[in-house]
Amino acid sequence: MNPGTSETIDGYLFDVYPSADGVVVWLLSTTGRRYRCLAPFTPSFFLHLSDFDAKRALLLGAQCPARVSFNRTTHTEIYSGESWDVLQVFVHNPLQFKKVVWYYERFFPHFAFFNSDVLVPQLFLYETGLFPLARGEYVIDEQNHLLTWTINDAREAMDYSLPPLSILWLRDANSFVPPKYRKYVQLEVSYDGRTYALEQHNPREVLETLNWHLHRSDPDVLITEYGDSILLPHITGLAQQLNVPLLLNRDPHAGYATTRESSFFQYGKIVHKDGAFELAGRWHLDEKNSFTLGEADLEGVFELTRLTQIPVQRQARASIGTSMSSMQLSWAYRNNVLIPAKKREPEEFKPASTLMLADRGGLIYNPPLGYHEEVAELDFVSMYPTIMVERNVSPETVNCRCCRNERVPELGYTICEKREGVIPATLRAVVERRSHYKRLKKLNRGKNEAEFRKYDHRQNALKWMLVSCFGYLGYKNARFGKIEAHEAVNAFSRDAILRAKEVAERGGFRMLHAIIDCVWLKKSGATEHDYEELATEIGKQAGIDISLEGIYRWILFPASKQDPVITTANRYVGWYRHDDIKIRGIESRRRDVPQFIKTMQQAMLDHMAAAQNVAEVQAMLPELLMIARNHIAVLRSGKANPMELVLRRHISKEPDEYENNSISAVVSKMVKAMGVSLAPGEMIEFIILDQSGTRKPEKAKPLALYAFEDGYDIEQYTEFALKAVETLLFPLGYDVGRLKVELGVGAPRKAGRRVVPQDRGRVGVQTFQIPLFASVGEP
Amino acid sequence: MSMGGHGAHGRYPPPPAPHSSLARPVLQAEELVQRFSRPPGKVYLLYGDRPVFDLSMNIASAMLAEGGHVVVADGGNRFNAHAVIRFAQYGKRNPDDFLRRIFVSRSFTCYQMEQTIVNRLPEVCRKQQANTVLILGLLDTFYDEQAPFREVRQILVRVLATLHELKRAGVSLLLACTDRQVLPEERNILFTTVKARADRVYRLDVRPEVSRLILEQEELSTPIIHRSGNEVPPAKGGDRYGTYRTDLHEHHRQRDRQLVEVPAGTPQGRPGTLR
Repeated sequence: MNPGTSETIDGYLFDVYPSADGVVVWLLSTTGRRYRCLAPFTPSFFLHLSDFDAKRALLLGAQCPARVSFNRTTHTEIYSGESWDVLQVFVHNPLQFKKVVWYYERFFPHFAFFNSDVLVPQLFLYETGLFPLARGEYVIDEQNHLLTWTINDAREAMDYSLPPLSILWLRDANSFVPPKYRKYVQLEVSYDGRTYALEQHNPREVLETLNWHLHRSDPDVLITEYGDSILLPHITGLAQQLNVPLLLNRDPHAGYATTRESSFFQYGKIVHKDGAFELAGRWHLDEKNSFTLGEADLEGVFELTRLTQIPVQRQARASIGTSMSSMQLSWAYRNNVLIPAKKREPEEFKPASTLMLADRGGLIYNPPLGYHEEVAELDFVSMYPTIMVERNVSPETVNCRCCRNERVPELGYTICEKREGVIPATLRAVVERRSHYKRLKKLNRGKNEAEFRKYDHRQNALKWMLVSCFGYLGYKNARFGKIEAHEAVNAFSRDAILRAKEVAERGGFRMLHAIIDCVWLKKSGATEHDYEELATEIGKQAGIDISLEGIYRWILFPASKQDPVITTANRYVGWYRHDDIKIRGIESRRRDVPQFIKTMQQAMLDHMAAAQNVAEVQAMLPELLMIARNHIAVLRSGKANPMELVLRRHISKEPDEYENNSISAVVSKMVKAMGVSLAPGEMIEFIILDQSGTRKPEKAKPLALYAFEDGYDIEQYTEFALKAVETLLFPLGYDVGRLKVELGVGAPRKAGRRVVPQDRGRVGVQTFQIPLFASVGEP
Repeated sequence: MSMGGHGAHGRYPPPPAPHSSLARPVLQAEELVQRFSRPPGKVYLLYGDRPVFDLSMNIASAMLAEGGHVVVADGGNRFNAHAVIRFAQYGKRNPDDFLRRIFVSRSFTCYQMEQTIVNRLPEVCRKQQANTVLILGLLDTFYDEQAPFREVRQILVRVLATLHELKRAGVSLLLACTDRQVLPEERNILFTTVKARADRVYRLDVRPEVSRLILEQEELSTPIIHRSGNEVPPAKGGDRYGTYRTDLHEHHRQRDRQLVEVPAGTPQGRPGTLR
């Protein structure tokens, strides 16, 4: 380009990250060129201060860690809707944005800060209205400064194009044991349809070979397995040790953006999240550290990144809550609404009598135990999101200060009639988009597989947002959340399901079961058409669409594991008349059950597919027992494949913190002794050798140390199998005791019953020889 | 401490306790109940093993039995309406009446706790004419590592200042929390600070054989903490916070407020003229 001239790039916004002079913007042109541009940008935050303190803030600016400038302006406070005078603080070095906020936090309390804890790339995107993968014409000068742009795309667009992306996969060649639990890995890279193993024995050669592949393929996307936690930290660490410059970053001037791993409580469980390892000018996506990528593939990540305006690498690792929060922040920017740095809106004081009424969830009717036939399932369509959108439920609209209408059933809370809340405003687009993609998915089913998958991934990514949006409303750290809004949604849902019950019962239907947004109804001789008509009527009365999921040939509501005379709401299985099976909560769907047991139960269920009614299920009893007998016989012969007996558990504390001798404690300590450090919330995989621990204190072995000659605890796995059989056959009169007699497995546990099968060769870490992660010089 | 077989108020013997180990402390708690109820205007701290919350609910119920209103700020999700119902039923009183006269707000972050106590509590006490306040798990949310320690200390200063303002206004406050060592260790100073500012400190010691309610600390000549928070040393780099309120967005509520608002820049000890 000649000096003084500019160039227009027809392409896509690929990546954004901060630099000292603004933000670096990467563009991918439609012709395949990549551009690194610099966009001038001065991020800012707001302080709500008295006049005296505003003057003080100005004076403090002189000693600030980065150059700052100020502007007095007016923004809207979300709860009151009032206009507030605020001091806008501009930070002239975006890399110092956080430091400047911290500096001011030393002098002013948290509640004076607004828009201060948003990441710079997101601030840039909110303020400019740009979004990742936005197609447009971008004008740059000869020094690659981004001058201006025209977007030929829209964030809300549902039909959009994506740039062609080159992808390189980097993973451990051995998928048997995750690299997290091993000391050695053998890397392999795949691109352009070919896979290359990095088999060099010298770590330096391995790094140079990796560099060669990166140079050769110059991928836009690097997809790894355990790249965040293991591969990239170790590769870069080794490169530093050996002084080998790596080509992981496309931007030679930038470093890597990393975050630390964390363990946190979520719904009463400890969950572990790996840190992030992000690259500059190229995306690094870790398949094992991205919920969205796992659930909805790249297509789902792209759908969300456009919608939420979170750059791709962060979006891929972001929780659903973070994604929703970003949409709300973007809305706040567009509407000049202040974003509080800390959520502080507490629950309103209310009489305990009201609290008892309000502090309840959705409605559940426990089902009658056993097998049932001619049962139909009707589901409210996106019930909670629809309530939030249609009823205008939002933190600032529930019990607002301007209206009095007592619209929330039972509770008498008011819903604002004068303005639409932030939650409905942002959620509406998600509801509409998902509905649109579901329609397109249906249209393409069996006609165009690629399109079908694309729309399925997109709708799936959005589905999780809709699933989580309600819970997020009550989450303590949700930027815009309020308990009363959460309670209001539940109250509306209870009202809807009660109306459904009334309508159904008026029509002669019997409600067998209900869980929050689904009802199971029965009426002798009712046809699909009858249920469709009923659904229409319920939809009218409840104000939320409800659809017929299907009519079951038979459905089983199994007994509770705690009390055999009652059922539990979330466990059932049944075959629809349209030949689909629906399974919830029983062994074949649970993640904590060994594959062998799942396979056995699934075989029984597959056999039951032919039964047209409960009588036919009963008639199949001998065959079902035979399936169980065959599987249990394999187990008891010691010939079951141990890899199908692997159990998975999340550890709740660090190995050394266990005071008992539980299996989790034993296994996590063994893993630690291997030199692998585990954090609370991380998963362990193991095979039980002796549950009782009477013969050996080592009750189980982690998968990485397991060898076939270790055998497995036959009695314990038999117990698992019998319980899975009992789940299906208990209503037919077979509990574990009777099954033991029937299947001839009543012998008591004896010492030494652990079976040692024939030697089939050792498996595990010992067979892998590439010492990539050993310290330099180690053989 | 009295060991009588009846509760503090004759007609209301203690209800069956949810934990058998609690039976004795409830009986022994008469003095605490009596002292707490009259005269008004005090800050008591009750800490110890987990049943402190059961005991607190019984104390609240005893206050309700006397006919007043009780306000509860709950920082640990410890409020138990069923304990109130059991108490009322035991005394053959209408549980609904009790439940209508006890006002609860739950907080899940220290920022919410601050907002509840500093801005909402004085208003609800005035509106409901309640002179009994229970604060359950005051520090539970303050131990959350997501909240920076510097910020948490500043919040505690503002919270304690409000509690003492309420005390001066004739409200009796019972702070109930469990006795625990937290990590990182520096946060243990929060409890020490709360303890030092209480008029009386009771410790509930629950053991399998015998449970004791121990008076650990008698009335101290605790100076009232001003909103400037000078009584508690500010965190490193901290500064003056006297002019800030946490309810910045609730101007309409400030109109009714009885508390004195100190205008910016007013020297300490010379409150401004705004009311």
